[in-house]
Amino acid sequence: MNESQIDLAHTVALGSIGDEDQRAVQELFDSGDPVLRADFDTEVQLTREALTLFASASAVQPPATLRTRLLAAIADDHAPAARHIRPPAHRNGEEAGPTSLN
Amino acid sequence: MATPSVDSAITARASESIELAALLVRCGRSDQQAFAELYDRTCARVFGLVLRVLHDSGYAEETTQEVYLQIWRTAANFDPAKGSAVTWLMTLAHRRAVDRVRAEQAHAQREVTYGTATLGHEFDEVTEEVGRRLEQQAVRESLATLTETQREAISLAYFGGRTYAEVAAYLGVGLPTVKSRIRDGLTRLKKSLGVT
Repeated sequence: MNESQIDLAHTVALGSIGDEDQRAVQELFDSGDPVLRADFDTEVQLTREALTLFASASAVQPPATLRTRLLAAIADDHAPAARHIRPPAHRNGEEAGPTSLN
Repeated sequence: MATPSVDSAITARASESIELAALLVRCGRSDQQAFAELYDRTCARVFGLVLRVLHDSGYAEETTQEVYLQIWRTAANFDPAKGSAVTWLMTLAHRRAVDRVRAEQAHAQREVTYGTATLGHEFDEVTEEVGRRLEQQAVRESLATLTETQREAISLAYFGGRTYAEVAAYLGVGLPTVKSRIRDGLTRLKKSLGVT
C-alpha cells in the first residue's frame, strides 16, 4: 500500500472519515484488487487494535448502578436463545422492553 | 525495541483476547454470567472511551448501557479471526459515542467542546480494571513512545470525532503535518502491540 492508502485506512479506523475519504475508500474497493483490499482491511484492524491500547489509558470505572441496571436489563431481555420459547408480546405486537431497571 | 514489560504485556493481551473471546461466545448463547464477567473485565475501558468522546458522565453512562446491550444482542456476530474481542467492543463503543455527539449537535445546534479538555491526563487515569500492573505499565510505555503532538493529533481525531482537515484547522497547521503526526503516532502504537 502507498502512503495515502495507509492514511486512508487510518481515517477509517479513527472513524474520522470525511466525504472525500469515503469516495476514496469506495474507489479502492471498486478497484477489484483482492490483495490491496485484504491489506487495507488488515491495516484498518491493526490500527483499531492500536487505538484500543491508546484509549485504555483513559479507562474510568463506571458507577456501580450501571452494572445493576444492565444485568437486570439482560435478564429481562429477549435473549437470542430464549426468543422462540418466550410467549409473544401481546400489546399490538410491540416488543416488551426492559421493565424492571432497578 | 520492546522492553520486557511490553513483551509480557503482549503475552497478557494475547491470553486476555482468548478469554474475552470465549466470554463473547457464551454471551452469544445468552449466558448471563459470562456477560457479567465480560462487563467487569472491560467496562472501565469502554466507559472511559465513551466519556472521553462525550464529556458528560450522564450521556456516557447511557451510551455505555446501549453499547453493552448491543454486545449482548450481537455477541454471536463476533469473529475472532477479524480481531480481538476488546477491540470489537471498543469499536462499537467509539462508533456509538461519536454518533451520539453528532446527534446531540444536530439536535441542539450547540457547540460541544471535545477532545482537548482532558488532554494530557492520560497517565493519571489508568485504572485497576485495565488489568495487571504490568499491562498498565505497558500502556504507559506505549503512550510514552508518542510525542506530545502525535498524541494530541490522534486524540483530536479519535476522541473528538474530527476529520484530518478539521484537526488541521483546529491546530492551525497544514493537512500534511496532521497526516504525518497521526501516521507516525499510530505506527509507534502498532509497534507496541508487537504486530509489526
